[in-house]
Amino acid sequence: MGAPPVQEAELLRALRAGREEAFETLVRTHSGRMLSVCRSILRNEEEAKDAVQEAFVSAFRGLSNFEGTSLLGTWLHRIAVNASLMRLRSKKRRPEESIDELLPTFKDDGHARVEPRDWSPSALQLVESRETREFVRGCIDRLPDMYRVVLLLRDIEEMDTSEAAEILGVSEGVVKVRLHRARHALRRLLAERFEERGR
Amino acid sequence: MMMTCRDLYGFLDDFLDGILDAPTLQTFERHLERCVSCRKYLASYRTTVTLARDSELADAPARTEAPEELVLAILHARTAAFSRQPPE
Repeated sequence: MGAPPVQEAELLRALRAGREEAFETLVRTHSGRMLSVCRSILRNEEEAKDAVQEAFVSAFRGLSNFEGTSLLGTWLHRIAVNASLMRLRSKKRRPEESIDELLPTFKDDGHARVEPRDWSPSALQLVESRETREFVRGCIDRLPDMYRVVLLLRDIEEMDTSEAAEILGVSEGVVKVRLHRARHALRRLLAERFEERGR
Repeated sequence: MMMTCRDLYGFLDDFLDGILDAPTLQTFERHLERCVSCRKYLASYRTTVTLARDSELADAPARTEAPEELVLAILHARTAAFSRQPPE
């Protein structure tokens, strides 16, 4: 998520020197992907743009404190994700539900308690329709934010585990556990519909 | 080494990422060969990841560049914020 080390160092020097073209380069390089992440989290175009703008202004102010231990892009994404999550929290009226009941359970001998069905063929056919895609996005939105955001960063934005961990300020182990639980829970939510359609 | 269905579920993400070490991968695949239940779960788990991605991306605007008005708004906000700062 960034330029090669030499270019990154040069850009950082130019930013710290206050060169206008460096700020423009930074914004043009990262704002598109940041907007995509914020849009996924907030589900609102205008709020996503506001969050990105807010993130850049915070970053410009905090540039002197940036230690360069992460890439500029990763640092910017971290600020943008936090800005988006803060916006979400300020709007949430209901507490989030636990996903424990959506996770697979096992018998003592290690076999799954519920015999799974493979509903892939019907689902992959149905995803061609906008209505199905809206349903899938609705299921993703039912996941608590701590899981939903990991799923968005890893599976939609295709970040690797270490990058997602750095952006969220958690360990790689935490990212792996959250992604694992998010995928299982989402699978269960999708199965409720696609198993029915596939009968 | 034996692998139960519970164990296999725990390795699904590393399997999809292609980062299982060789002995674990061999055990994983051996379990899949004889367990139709896990084959079905793996197929639907993999499809879950595909559906999530396709559904998020298909109706979203282009991801590579932000709209020009947002870029200009950010640069303008920087100029405005810095011009208000007292000289050090």
